[in-house]
Amino acid sequence: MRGGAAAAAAIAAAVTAPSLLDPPGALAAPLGDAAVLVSLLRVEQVLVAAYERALATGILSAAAQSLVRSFLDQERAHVHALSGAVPRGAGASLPDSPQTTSAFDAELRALRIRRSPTELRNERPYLRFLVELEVVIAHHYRFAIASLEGEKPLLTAAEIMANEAQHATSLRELLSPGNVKRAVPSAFVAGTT
Amino acid sequence: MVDPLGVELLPDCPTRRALLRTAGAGLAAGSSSLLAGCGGGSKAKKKLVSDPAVRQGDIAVLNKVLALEHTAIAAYTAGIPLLSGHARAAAAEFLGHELAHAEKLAATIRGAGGKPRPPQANYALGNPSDEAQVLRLLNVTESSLVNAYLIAIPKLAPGWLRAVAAGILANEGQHISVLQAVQGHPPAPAAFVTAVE
Repeated sequence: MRGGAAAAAAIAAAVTAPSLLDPPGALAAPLGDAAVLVSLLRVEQVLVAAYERALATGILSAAAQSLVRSFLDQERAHVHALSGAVPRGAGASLPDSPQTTSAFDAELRALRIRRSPTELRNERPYLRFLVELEVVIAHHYRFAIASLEGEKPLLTAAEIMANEAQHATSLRELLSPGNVKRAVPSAFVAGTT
Repeated sequence: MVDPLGVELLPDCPTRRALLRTAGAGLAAGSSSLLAGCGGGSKAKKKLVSDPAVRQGDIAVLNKVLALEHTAIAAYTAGIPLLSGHARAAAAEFLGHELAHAEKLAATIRGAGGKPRPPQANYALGNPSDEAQVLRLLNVTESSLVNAYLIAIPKLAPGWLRAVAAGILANEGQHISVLQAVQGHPPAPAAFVTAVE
């Protein structure tokens, strides 16, 4: 496959492929930035779902609610930007935010986050879950930036990655006020701390 | 794998193929999943060896951001004595980060056969005389760094080097977040971290 059809296949596979260990054939060859952008869009949709669910729990303090609400707005802005950046070859559809708990949990497992937030009943564990999610997704962005080639997709990804790092810092600050070593644990955001 | 900047990267992963496999997974961003997706063994090592090296053009780009890292080091060094409490503790921590960034950039430039730009003897930082003015100076300095990294990233040829630069950019974004909060402003004021304050 070449050109638009190949890109469309990559996008479609990125939206629907069920398993990392059994990637579809369409993903076995370099096919352009589109599939990388779709992978970023898909993790952003998980973030949208995570922040929506956090607000719906009713367990967050006013300060946490305010922060989470503003971050949710920013995740939606990321989704909008990434959606607009993906070339829509051959009518390929883009990933939606996971609507059901089982779909959300499946996406978390794909991110190797094993504990579902549906088990959490207090604010602090929930905030720690959100930090873990932001950290893992920063890791994803880092690899995306290593792989993307177009200037505009690279800039968009870099600007969003930095914003996700800010989210992790702000959530950590909420968990440990005044502890800058916890809020910004490393000079390099690698998505592992 | 440790890249030439000393930041951990996984074997063979900063490649389009690895990302596409990740995309195919739906998500899968954890280290173990990427390792699984990237595989190991001799094939991976061969690809690793053939990863693009730092080029002359990259050295020039890195030296530009290194110059701004030196400016940030000077700003934090000059400003910390005028700060107190949490702001002072944060600034001291961030000074350590900027020193680490400068060290890594210089090491990469040297490793590629280039000459890292040395710090200047003096920097025109204005004359901040109180905490508010210092925090403003630090915000402006961090914003300049963000701008420099956003200009640099698309120009860097090796993917691993773009990833490292993005990791530093994100750290500068975190600094801005804490500095904003210290001043009573929203810690993440915009969905996209750009040089515009």
